[in-house]
Amino acid sequence: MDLIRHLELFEAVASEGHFGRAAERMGMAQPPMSQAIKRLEAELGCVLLERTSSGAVLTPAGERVREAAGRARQAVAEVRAAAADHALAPVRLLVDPALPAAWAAEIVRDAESAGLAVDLEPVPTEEALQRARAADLPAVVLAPFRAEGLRASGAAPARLWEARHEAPRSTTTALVHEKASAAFLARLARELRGLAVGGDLVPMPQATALGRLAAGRVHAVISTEAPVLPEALAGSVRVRSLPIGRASAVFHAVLRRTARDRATVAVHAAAAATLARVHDA
Amino acid sequence: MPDPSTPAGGTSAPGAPDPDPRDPGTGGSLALGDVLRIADRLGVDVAVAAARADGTGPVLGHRPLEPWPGASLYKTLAALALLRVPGLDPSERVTVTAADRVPGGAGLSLLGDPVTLSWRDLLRSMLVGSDNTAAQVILRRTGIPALDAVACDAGMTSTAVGTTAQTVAAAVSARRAGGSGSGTDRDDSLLAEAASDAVLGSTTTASDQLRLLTALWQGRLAGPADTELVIGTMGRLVQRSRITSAFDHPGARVAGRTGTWGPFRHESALVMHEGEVPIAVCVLTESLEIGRLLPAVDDGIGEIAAALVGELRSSR
Repeated sequence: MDLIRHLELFEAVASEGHFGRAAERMGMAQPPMSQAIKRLEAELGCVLLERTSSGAVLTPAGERVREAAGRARQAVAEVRAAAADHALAPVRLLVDPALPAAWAAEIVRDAESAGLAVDLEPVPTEEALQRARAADLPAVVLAPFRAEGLRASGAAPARLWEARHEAPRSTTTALVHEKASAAFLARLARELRGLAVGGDLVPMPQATALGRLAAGRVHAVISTEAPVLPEALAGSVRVRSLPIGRASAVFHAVLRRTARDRATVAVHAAAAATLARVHDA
Repeated sequence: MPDPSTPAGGTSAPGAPDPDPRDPGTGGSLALGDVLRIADRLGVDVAVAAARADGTGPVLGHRPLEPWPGASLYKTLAALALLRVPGLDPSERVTVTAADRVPGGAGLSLLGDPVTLSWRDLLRSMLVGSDNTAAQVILRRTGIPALDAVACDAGMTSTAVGTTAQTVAAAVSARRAGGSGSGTDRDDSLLAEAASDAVLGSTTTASDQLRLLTALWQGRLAGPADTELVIGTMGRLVQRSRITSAFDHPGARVAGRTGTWGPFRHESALVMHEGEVPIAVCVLTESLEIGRLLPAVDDGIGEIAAALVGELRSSR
């Protein structure tokens, strides 16, 4: 029998002093409540309640069992809380804000189906690397980066999108990113020159970038998500995806080599496996 | 937030042969902080060691004792080993045929027809153009144990010559030691890339490279004429885009030896300023991408060397 559940029901009858009201409180009918108490009394080998015309009164044995039951329930709650702290707390996975949303969803879904709970926290690569080196925190970061002390998954290139103004008044190229690393900007600028997308490459939030594109104040907007443009821009802006082998945003899942926490190691491995599956190359 | 990847080496006491690996900070060295900032900006991993070639003054180091695939850095050892071969006449002529050709570097490796030249010119081709064919012919004459003997005399403790496949595998297994986690990672891509590469290379450490350069400059590895030949030839290195690029000004000279394979770009060099004791400096780097031209990284190796040399020159 489920002793803890039966003790709960017994405590309800003891505090209500009445089978019917206790059954109502526990969301059940009276007969199964009475049968449950009888089973408990049979299991424990003593009479816990004296049935009277007006309700139920605790016997001396019932008094003692009620006290002990309270302590037992408390102990069981502590067991569950302790387990929840460790086993069920989601592992935080730091992800660069440029990670395509579809990839983020796949990472979480793959992890969940492997029994791992993951919470994604958007953190720019430079900060994510510092935090990943300082603690056992897995991260999905944007290459290139200094890999010292970190185990890094294979490269996962993501397609880049270009929204280009037909008659720009500026040579600046906008990159949709809140805080891109200098290393990524330098690499991307070089790749874009190879595709004749010249000019300064300036990172900025999406709304800023698209606003300036609408005004012709940037000649192109580069992003890892396909841009959704208002109809008003359809005539003056063309959208294309850049050839993946020539320009891309390359992601790696990283974790410090000394990490020992099982859930953390498992989440890193799961993220690495997802990246190996979803990449665009 | 403090970055725990700050140098594991730091500075150590004057005259000490090694940076103290227990020192967790930069030991007051601003240059080592600059080194990591440059590496972060370029997105490359880095190990360095630098000191005055006379063994006085501080020794700067970041991960100086970690084994890296050193690629062609072994060619300095090969040059010294050749000059030590008993009874060898450096002007003796050798014919290199098409069958001797090994790809890599500029020089005989680029040619197709038989070439006859002296041992000394083979040495020059190996050091100036990082010519793998010249290196192979020289190694066939000296044998690899002769290189180990030079390394031993220089006090090098963690350097070995082997195929690229062997040296990459050794470095990967060293950095994986103590780690955990199953599944493949980027080191597996590196191993796969190296697996069938039988071209000779080396495993080495930044600290060992420092020992080699200082022992060479101090004349502990060869007689005065041979020492001059080796350092002078290193000064005519064709690849000037790394450390040499940072000292392209009057009164400065660089005698360097590069090593390049896949994601690895290195240089060990004596940086000489008129009227000063030279500074020995070794910069080892690894990019995330394998086998792409990354001129910014070559440039960055020069910047890193300049930061280290600048601090050591002003610390007298």
